[in-house]
Amino acid sequence: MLSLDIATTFRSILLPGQARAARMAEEDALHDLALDQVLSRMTENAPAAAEAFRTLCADTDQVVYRQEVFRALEREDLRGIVDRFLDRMARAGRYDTASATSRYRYEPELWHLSAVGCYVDAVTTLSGDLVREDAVRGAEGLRALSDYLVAFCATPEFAALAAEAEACRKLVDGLRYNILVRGARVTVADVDGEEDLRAEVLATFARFRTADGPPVSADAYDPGLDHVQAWVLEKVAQVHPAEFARLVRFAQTSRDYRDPTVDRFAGEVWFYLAVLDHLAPLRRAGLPVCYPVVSAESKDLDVRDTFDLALATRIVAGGGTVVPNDLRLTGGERILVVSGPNQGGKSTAARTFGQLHHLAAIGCPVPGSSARVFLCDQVLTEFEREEQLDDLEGRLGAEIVRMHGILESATGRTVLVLNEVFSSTALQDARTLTRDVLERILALDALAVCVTFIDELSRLDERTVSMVSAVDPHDPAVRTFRVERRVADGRAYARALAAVHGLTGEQIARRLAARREGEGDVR
Amino acid sequence: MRVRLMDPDRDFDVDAVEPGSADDLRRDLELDYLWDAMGGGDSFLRTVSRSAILHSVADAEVIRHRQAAFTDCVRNPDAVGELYALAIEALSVERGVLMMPVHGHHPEMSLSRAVRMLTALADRLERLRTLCAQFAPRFASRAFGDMFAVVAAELDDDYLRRLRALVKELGFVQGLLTSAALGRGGGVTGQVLRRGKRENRGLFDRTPLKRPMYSFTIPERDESGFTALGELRARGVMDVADAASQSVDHVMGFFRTLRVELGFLIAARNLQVALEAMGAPVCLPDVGGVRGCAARGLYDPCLALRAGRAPVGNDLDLSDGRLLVITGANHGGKSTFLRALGVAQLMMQAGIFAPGGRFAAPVVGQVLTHWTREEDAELRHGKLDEELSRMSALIDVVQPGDLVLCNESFASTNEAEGSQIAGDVTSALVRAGVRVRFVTHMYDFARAIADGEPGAEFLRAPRDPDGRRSYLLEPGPPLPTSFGVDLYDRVFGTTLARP
Repeated sequence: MLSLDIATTFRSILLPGQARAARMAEEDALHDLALDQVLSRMTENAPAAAEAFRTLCADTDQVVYRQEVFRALEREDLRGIVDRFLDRMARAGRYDTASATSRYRYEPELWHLSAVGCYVDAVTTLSGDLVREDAVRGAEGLRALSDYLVAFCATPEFAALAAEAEACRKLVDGLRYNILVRGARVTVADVDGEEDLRAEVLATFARFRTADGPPVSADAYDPGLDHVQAWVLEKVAQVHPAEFARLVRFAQTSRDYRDPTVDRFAGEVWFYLAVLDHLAPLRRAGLPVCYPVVSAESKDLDVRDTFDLALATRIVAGGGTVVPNDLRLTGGERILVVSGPNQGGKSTAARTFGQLHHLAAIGCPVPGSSARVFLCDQVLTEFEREEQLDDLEGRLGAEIVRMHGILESATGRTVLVLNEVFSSTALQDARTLTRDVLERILALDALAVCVTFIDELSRLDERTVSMVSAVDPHDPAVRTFRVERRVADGRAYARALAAVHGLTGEQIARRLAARREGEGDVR
Repeated sequence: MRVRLMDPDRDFDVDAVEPGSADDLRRDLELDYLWDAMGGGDSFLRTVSRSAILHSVADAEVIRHRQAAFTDCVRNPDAVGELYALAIEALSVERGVLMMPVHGHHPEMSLSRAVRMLTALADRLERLRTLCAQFAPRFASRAFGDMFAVVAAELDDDYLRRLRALVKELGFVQGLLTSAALGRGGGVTGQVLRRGKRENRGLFDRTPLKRPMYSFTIPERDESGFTALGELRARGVMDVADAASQSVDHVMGFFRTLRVELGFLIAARNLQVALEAMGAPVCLPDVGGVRGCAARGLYDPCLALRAGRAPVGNDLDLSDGRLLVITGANHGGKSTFLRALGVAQLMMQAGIFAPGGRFAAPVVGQVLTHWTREEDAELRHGKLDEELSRMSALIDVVQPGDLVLCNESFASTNEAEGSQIAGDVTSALVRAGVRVRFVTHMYDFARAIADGEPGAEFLRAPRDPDGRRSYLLEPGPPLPTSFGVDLYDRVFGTTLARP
C-alpha cells in the first residue's frame, strides 16, 4: 500500500546488500551432524530462517555480517526489543487471520483495527528502540535496519495510518451500553448511570472470601462472537451509529497496510534467535561458546574446549557434566583419524568436527572457548545407515556408492565426516578401502575426520593426525566388580553392608550435610 | 472469619498428608490405643486425633495456645458441646440443597445454589453469634476469646440484614441487567451487574432502560442461540457467583474447621477422662522449660489403655538430653519406657496434656522410630539388611533437632557387628544435632558410647536383689552382663547370674 521511496540499502538481516548465499546442505548431512534439532526450532514458524541455517555463506563478509548480528542479539536489552517486536507482529498476524475468517457484521473491521494497531505499535516501538540501542552500532545489518525503519516511520502514509488507527481504537474502546436479558428477549440501550450492583455484592461478601488474589472475573474474558453477541453488536451499532461509520471507513482505506521489508525481517530474525535459544541452556551450564575466526584461505583448525552440540544439549538437560575436547589441524595437516575403545566418544568427536565447520560457515557461534575455522563450501557426511542393517552385501554396496558420490562432489574446500566406514567388511578389505578413500581426500586437499578401528591409518603420512579415545580407569561410574584376595575381617561384611546403605558415620554426616546445603539453596 | 483454636495463624488441616514416618510411629508406639480412646467410638474424632498427634507442632507458642484452649474446654464442656453441635447442624445444610457439580463451571447455577445455601446459613450464623456472645465471659483463653470476638465483629445485626437483602436481589426477578464494552472482535466484554433505574420505566413498556432501545428475541428453536444467551448471562454474573460461592465455602469452611478444632479438644478430653478413670495422672507439660528432659511418674498411656489399669511410672532427669542410652535386663520395662517418652513427646507437641505428674522437655522437630522387627525376619533380604535399609530411609528424612527413638536396633546381627554399626549411626546423628534415645542390650555399643560421647546419659533396668524386675529404671552406666542371664536363671532354676 505504501509506495515508499526510502534511500537505504537494507534488504535482509541475513545477508548484506544484494548478496546471495552459496550452497544448500543436504538433509542427510544435517541429520548426521545432529544439527536438524536446532533446525527444527525454525522450520515451523520461520521458513526463511530454516533456509539460512541450511545454506553456507559464500564469503567471509557474509559470515561477519551474521556474527555481528548474533553478538548484538546476545545483549539482553536488544533481545528484549526484538522479542517484544515479534510478539506484537505475531499478535497482528492472529488479528489479520481473525479478520479474514470472521462472518458477522462489523467483526472484520474490528479485528482489522486491532491488527493495524498492533502492527503500528510493533514497527514504531522497534524503530524507536533500535535508534536508542547501543548494540545496534556494532552490526551493519542492524544499522541498516534501523535506518530503514526511521525513514519508513517518517513517511506521511505511515503517520496517517497510525493516527487514524489510534483514533478509531479510542472510539471503540470508549463505547458502553446496557444489556437487559429477560427470558428470550434481549434489549440493548445506552448506559444511564445505573448503580453498580456488582460492587455492592462483592463488598458485602468480601469478609467471607476464601481465595487469595483478586476475585474471579469475566472482565478480561474476550470471547469470539457467536450469533447472539453478533446481534447485540448490531444493536450497539444502532445505539452508536457515528462511531461505527468511521470504523468501517478506516477498514476500507487501510486494507493493504503491511510493508514487505518489515515482514521479511520478522521471519529472518528467527535464524538468530533459534540458535541463541538452543545455546542458552549450554551457556547457563557453564559451557563455552565463541565466535570463530573464519578464513577462506587458511585450512587450519584450532578449537579449544569444544563439544558435540547435540550430546551436550542432552547431557545438560539431564544434569550431567560435559567433557570438552580440543580439535586441531595445522599447516599441511588435513585429516583427523580417530581410533580407540568403544564408548569413548569417537563418533562424538567426528560430529563435533562437522558441526564446527557447518556452524562457522553459516555465521553462527560455535561450541568452544576459542576457534579458528576454515570457510568450507560444504560438509559431507558418511554415517552408517541403520535401515540397511539386515543385508550386509547391499549395505556395503550402498556405502561404496554413497562414498563415491561424496568424493565426486567434494572439492578442495569441502569438509568430510566419515564415521565407522566399511565396518561391515573384513579387516583387510576395510584397510584397503579406507586407505584409498583417505588418499583421495588428501589428493583433493580437502579436510576430513575419519573414525575407524584401523589405527594404522593415522600413520598414512604427515597430513593425517591420530586421535585416540580413552576411558578413564578411575571413573567411579564404571564398575569393575573385581574379586580380590584379602585377609578376612570379621566385621567386614556388616560394615560393607552398612556402606552399601550409606550408613557409615562418614556417609551419614555427608548425607545430612548435603541435604542441609540443598535446602539452603532452595531457600 | 477464622476459628484458630489450634493455631493462632492457621486452620488445622485434618487432611494434611501424613509424614512418611507415620506408619512406623503407629506400629512402634502402639498409637492405635491412644486414638481409639480419643475417638471414644466416633470415627471423625479418631481421624482428627490421629492427624493432630502425627502432625507434631514444633512451635512452643502454638502448643501453649492449644494448652490454654484445652484448659477452657475442660472447664466448659457443655458450652463446647453446644458449639460442636451447631457446627454439625450447619454442615448438614448442604444436604438440603440440590447438589450438582456446578461450582465454577456454570456461574448461574452455582449462583443459584449459593443463594439458597446462604439463605439457610444466615440463620445458623445468627445462632452462632448468639451462642458466642453468651459463652464469651466464661472462657479465659486467647484462642476462644479471639474466636468469639471475630464472630461478634463480623456478624453484627446490620450485616446479617444487608446479606439477606442482597441474597434476595440475586434472584433477578426483574431480569438480568449488565453494562458492557466491546471486545476486540466485537464480543460483549467487561460486563458489570447493574441495578436498573425505576424512573426509566415507561408507562406501558416497563423496561428500566434509557430510550432509544433496540431489542431482539431468540427464536424458539434456536438452541445454540439459547446456549449463547446462557453464556452471556453467565459471564454477567461470573464474579458475583464466584463471590457468593466463596462466601458459602467460607462459611461452610468455618463450620467445618470449627467442628475439627472443637472435635480435637473434645477428643483430648475423652482421653483425659479415660486415663483419670483408671487412676492414671496427667499434667500439662512444661514446654521448653528444661534443656534436657524432666519427668515424674512418666508412663505409657497406650499400655495403660490396653491393660485397663495405671502402670508404674518412671522418673527421668536428663541434664543434657542429646543422647540417652537405656540398658539392662530384658523385660525390664526398657521398651515401655521408650514408648512412654515418644508418646509423651507427641502428646505435648499436639498441644494436650502428658502422661504422669510432670513432664518438661524442649520442642523437637519430628519424632522418628527405629524398632527391631521380629516379624520381618523371614524377608528376602536378610534381617540386618532390612534394618539397615529402614535406618537409611530414616537418615533420608531426619533433620537436626529431631528426636530418634531406637529400640534394640541392629540386634539382628552378632554383638560385635551390631555395636559397630549402632555406634557409627548414633555418633553421626548426635553430632548432626539429632536427639537420640537408644534402648539396647549390646554392652559393646553402650560401653563405646560411655567412653566416646561426653554428653551421653544412661538409664538401667535394674534387678532386685531377689532377681525380680521392679520395672523402675535408674540412672547408671551400662553393666557388662545382659540380664537375660537371670531371666534364664528364673526359668531354668539356675544361678548363673550369681555364681
